[in-house]
Amino acid sequence: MFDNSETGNKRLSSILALVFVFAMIMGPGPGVYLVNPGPDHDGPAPTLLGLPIVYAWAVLWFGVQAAVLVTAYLTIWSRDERES
Amino acid sequence: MSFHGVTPPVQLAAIDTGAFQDAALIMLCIYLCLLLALGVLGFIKSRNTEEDYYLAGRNQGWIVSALTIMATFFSSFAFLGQPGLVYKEGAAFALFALNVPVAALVVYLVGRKVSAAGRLQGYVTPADMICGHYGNSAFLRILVALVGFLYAVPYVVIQLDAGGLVSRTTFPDSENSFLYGTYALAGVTVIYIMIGGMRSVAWTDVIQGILLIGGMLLAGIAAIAALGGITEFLEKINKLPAEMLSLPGRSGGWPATKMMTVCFFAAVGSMIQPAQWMRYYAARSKQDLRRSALLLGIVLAGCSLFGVMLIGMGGEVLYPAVTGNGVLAPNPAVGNSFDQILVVVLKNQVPEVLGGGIGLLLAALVCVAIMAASMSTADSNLHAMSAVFTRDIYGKLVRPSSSDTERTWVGRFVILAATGVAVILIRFKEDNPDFEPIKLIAEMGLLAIAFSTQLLPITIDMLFLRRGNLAGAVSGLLAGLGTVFFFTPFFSMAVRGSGSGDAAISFINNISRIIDTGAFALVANVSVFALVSRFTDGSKRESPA
Repeated sequence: MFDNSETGNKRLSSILALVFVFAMIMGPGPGVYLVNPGPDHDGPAPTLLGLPIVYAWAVLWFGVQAAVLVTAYLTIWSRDERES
Repeated sequence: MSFHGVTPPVQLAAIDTGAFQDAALIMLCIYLCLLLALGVLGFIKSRNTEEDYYLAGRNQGWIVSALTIMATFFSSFAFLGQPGLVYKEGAAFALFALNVPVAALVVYLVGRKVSAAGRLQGYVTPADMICGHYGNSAFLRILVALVGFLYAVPYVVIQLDAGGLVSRTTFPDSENSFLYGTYALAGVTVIYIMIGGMRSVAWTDVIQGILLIGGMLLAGIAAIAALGGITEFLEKINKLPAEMLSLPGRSGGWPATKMMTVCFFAAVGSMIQPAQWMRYYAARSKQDLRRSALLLGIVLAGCSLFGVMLIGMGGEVLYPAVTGNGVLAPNPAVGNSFDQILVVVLKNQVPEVLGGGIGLLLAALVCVAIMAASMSTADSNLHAMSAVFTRDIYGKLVRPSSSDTERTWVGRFVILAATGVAVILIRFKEDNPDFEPIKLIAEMGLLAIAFSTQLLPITIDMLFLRRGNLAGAVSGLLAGLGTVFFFTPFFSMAVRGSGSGDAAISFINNISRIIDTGAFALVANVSVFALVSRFTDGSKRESPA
C-alpha cells in the first residue's frame, strides 16, 4: 500500500506535512472566510448537515488533521521506530 | 439590552440543589481520598533518588504517558475557559479545538528525540539538555529556568484559584466555599507530590485524565440533553444571531489570523514547557510517545470539539448574555463570569433533564472532573518548578556539592513553599478583589505560553538543524523574552502617562488583536538567534539527540 523505500518515506512525510499545514490555514486560518457568514449576515444562518457552518468547518478540518496523524502513525512513525 | 433580547432561560430547572451539593461533596471526597492513596502508593514504590523523584525512573508506559501528558496539557481552561469563550464569542471559538492535533505532532516530533537524549545523558530538566548542547553556560541555564518559572508560577496560582471558583459555584450557600475549595485542592496536591514525586503525579494524572475525557464528553451530552435532543439543539443554536455563528466572534476579537496563530502557539508553547519536557524524559520508549501522540491528537481534540465546546453554544440559548453600557456580560443567572457557564448548566439543567439520581451523579462527576483538570495542571507545574529550581539553580549554582537526597528534600520544600505563597495570595485576593499581585499574575498567565514558546528556536536547532551556537541561543532567547515583556502589564505600568508611552501601548494592543503575542516575540527570537549564530564563532556541539 505504501512505498517502503527511504525516498517514499520522505515523499510521504512531505505530503503529510503539506496537508497538515494546509489544514491549519484552511481550518482556523484565513480559509475559514470562504464559508464564514460574517456578523452582518441577514436571513437564516448557513448550515452543513444541520451544523452551523463555522462549527462544521472546524469538524471537517479536524477530520483532515486526524487523518494525517493516523497515516503518519501507521507509516512514517512506525518505520522510524523499526529503524532506530 | 442584549444581543438578542434578555429572555429567561429556556428551561429553569426546579432541582433539589441540596441533593446536587451532597452528591458533589461525596464524589469530591472519594476523589481526593483516591488521590491520596495513589500518592502513598507512589511513595511505597519510589526509590530515594533525584531521578526517581523527578522522572519516575524513566519507565512510564504509554497509557500513563498519554494520560499524564493530556492531563497536564488541559487545565481548568478546558472546562471553564473554553466553554466560557464559546458562550461569549460563539461558534468561532470552537475552531480553537484544532490546536490539539498540533500538540500531538509536537509530542512525537520533539518528544521522541528529547526522550532518547534524556535517557542517554541522564537529563532531568530542559536546561540540562539545552546546556548539554550549547555549552554549560550558567547564564543560559538561568534563562531557560526563568522561562520555566514564567510559565509555571501563573499556571499554579490560576489553577488553585480555579479550584476555589468551582467550589463557590457548586456550593454557593457556604460562606467560605471558595477558600475551602482552594485549600482542599492545594493541600491534597502538595501531599501527593511531596511524598511520591513524578510517580504519584503521573498516577493521579491517569485518574484525572480519565475524568477529564469523560467529563468533557458528558458536558457535551448534557448540553444537547438540556435543549431537548440533537435536533432541537441544532435548531436552537442555528437561530442564534449571526455574530454568534461567525468570525471574528461576538466581541470582534477573533479574526482568523489570530485564531490560527493562537492555535499554533498554544499547542507548541504548552508542549515544550518544562512539565511536558520532563514527561518526554520519563517515557519508557519512543513507541510510548508515538501512541501518546495519537491518543492526544484524536481523543482529546474530539472530546473538546464534540463535548465541552457544545456547552458554550447551548449556554447562550439557555442563558443569553446581556450588554449594559456597551459592555457584554453573562446572563445574571450565570453569575459574574462567562467561565461559570458549564457548572451552571450542569447544576441547573442536567439533574432534571437526565433524571434525578443519574443526572445528579453525572453533574457531580463533571464538577469533580473540573477540579481534576485544575489539580493535574497544578501538580505537574509545581513538580516541574521544583525540578527546575533544585537542578538548575540550587544544584548547579548555589550548592554544586549537594547530594541527590539533599536536592530532593530541597525540591519538596520548594513545592510546599510555592503552594503556600500561592494560597496566601489567593486568600488576600478573596478579602480584597482588587489585590494587585493576583491581577498581575492572572495577566502574566495569559502570556505564559508566549514565554515558553521562546524555547522553540533553540529546541528546533538543537534537535534538527544544529547550526546555532551559545551566543546565538542566549541572544535569541533574550530578544524573545524581551519582546514578550512589551506585552506584559509591567511595560504598560512603566510607560503609561507619556505621549509616546500611550502610543506604544495602543500600538501593542492593536497588533495583539490581530496575531498571537508569541508570534511577534518568535520573529525577534529567530532573527537574533540566526544572525548572532551566523556572525559569531561559537563552538558548535554534536546534538545530544
